[in-house]
Formats: sequence, structure tokens, C-alpha cells
Amino acid sequence: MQEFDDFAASVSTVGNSVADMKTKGEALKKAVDKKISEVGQQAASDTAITQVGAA
Amino acid sequence: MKLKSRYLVSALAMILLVSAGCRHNTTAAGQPPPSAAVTTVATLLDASNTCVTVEDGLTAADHAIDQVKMSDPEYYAKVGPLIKKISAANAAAAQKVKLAKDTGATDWKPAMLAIASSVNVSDLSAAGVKNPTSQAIVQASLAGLVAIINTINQNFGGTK
Repeated sequence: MQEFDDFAASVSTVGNSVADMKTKGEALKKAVDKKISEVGQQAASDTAITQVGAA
Repeated sequence: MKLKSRYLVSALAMILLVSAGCRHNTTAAGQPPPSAAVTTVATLLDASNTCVTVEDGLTAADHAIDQVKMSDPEYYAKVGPLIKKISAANAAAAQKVKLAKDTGATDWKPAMLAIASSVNVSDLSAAGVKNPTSQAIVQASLAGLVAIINTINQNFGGTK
């Protein structure tokens, strides 16, 4: 999560250049989707472990 | 939220890019100086790129708040409409920029500034998201979106 937090902090200062904005906008979209995917996979894994433990 | 205008804006950006690269300026009576024409094309390209960037920020924020739609319905009900407002303003601005490229209309800057004023950015907060991991993702996406929106006044609010 720290890596994502660091990234988020860097995106929150996009600067004045439109090119810089565009690059960081694309990076933000990809990073958020990647993080959501990771969290979803972890949740699915935790659920599976819980189910195995219960069985 | 379906962000259909993304493709329109991307296509516009490409058209503007090609136009900027292929433009031949000639001096003739009654014509604006070449430098002014080039500046206008370049600024329209900046505007188009900014619309694409806002769309990227909106996509990130939309995906992030979608994750808490079920767990935090009150939060979603508060922030979801704000994202839609920005999206509507961004789509309107993209259309104005396209019209400016096609017809030479000059009223596109107010439409760009309207994106920045479409919501109070201080309302774009992750407060109210219960799960800490989800809150961090929402916070990061909204901070990015706010940063992008905040540059609009800097880039299009002056005489550029």
C-alpha cells in the first residue's frame, strides 16, 4: 500500500504542463485499476482460505 | 458510468495533432499573423488533451467509488453525482473544442473553465468510506482528479 500511497502523492502534484498532466492522468487511471484488481484478488483469496478453513 | 465521450475526445486530439503538423501558414491581407494561428491550434490541442486527461481522472475516480457503492451507499450517493457533473462539463467542453477546430468558434475557453467550476473540489473527499484500503484508493483517485482540475484555471484562465 505504501507504494500506492507514494504514487498517489506524486500524482497529486501534476504541474502546469498539459503533457505532464496527460501522462499522470493516464498513470492514475492505470494505477487505480491495478490496485482495485489487486485488492479484489486478495479478497477472493481470503474468502477461499476461510472456506477451506471452515470445511 | 459510461464514458462514451472518451473516444470522441481521443479522435479529436488526433485530428488536432495532425492539423498542427500539416498546417501551412501564408501571409495574406486580412489574415491573422501565422504565429497567432499556430498558437490557436496548439492551444486547442492543449484543451483537447486536457479533456482527455480529465476523462482519465474521472475514469479512475469512477472505478474507485464503484468499489464502495454497496458498502458505503451514502458516500456513493454524495460523491457519485459530483463525478457525473464534472463528466457532463468535460463532455460539453470537448464538444466546444471540436466545434472551435471545425468552425473557428471562439467560445471554448469558458467551457474549459466550466469544468473547473462544475463542482466544489473540496467536496471530493474520501471521508465516509469505511474500509481503510478502499478509502486510500478513493482518496488517491480523487486527489489526482482534483489536481488535474486545478490546472485548468492555470492553463486556460489567462490570455493564453
